[in-house]
Amino acid sequence: MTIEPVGHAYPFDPLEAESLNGVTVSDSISGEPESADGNFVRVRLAAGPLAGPVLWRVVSMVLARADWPLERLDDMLLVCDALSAHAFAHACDATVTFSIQADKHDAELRVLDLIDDGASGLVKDAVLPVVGNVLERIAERVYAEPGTHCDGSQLVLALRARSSAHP
Amino acid sequence: MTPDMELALTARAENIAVVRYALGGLGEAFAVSESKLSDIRLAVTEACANVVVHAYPDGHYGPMEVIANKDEDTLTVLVRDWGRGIGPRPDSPGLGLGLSLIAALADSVQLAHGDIEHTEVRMTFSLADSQTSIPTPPGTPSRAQASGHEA
Repeated sequence: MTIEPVGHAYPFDPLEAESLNGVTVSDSISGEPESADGNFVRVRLAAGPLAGPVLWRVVSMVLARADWPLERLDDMLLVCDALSAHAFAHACDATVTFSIQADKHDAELRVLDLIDDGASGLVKDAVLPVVGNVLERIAERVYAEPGTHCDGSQLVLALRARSSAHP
Repeated sequence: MTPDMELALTARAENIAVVRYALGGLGEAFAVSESKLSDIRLAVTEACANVVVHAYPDGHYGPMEVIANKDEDTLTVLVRDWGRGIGPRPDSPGLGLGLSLIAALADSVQLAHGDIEHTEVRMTFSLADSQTSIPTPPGTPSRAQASGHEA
């Protein structure tokens, strides 16, 4: 076993470091963006078997660390399943970037890098029999914003730790 | 090349747990054996801990990235930061075993300091003979199928 220097080799397209904190919980969602510095994670996933398990794990860890109740973590399992199953059909390329930021009251989950109308298409796809639209049932607000990649769109889910669905 | 997963986080100690938990998805997605997954998690944890402890000045929290890609029977994991690079640190609070431990657990380790001021530790792990073959009973739905979201 040896440790080798690799010089400037750079095998993957990098995420831009300066954009790490480019997405923050807006005042309209949290009112107190106390965790803008810490409880923020961005994950870019390629279509494939890893997407679902990793997305759920990252989102649930961020929310658990923010002391979200267990029933809301269960809700987010459905949300992550829906997003990982359908987001790639609306993506600019073979990857989708998600960001999650949370404090103890609010969270914001973004699906970036979607094509134009991809955000609305993703919402339309997230329908379960009997339950209805998973994203709209679980998130307090679901809306689209202009994307920063491929002139597309991004989907924003604003969530509260204490949902009206779980009084 | 597009990796399977890129995680971008702040280099804080609590975020190492996020990385460890995310890596657990490898076991779920690729049926990596628990012992191999433990080695991977420990090596990546050490690399992330190095970033948290050494990359940025005390009181400053810079970015940390963890990138993973599976190709055939090989998993490559990069841990990257934009800090002050790898070098001797006489006041290091650790035992200085991090890189040695990584080297012992990974099949290869490469260190790089790139031209965009990043430092990276690249680890490869052979997954040959470490992937479990747990038979799935016929008709057993995946989690996505169970929730009605199979693409």
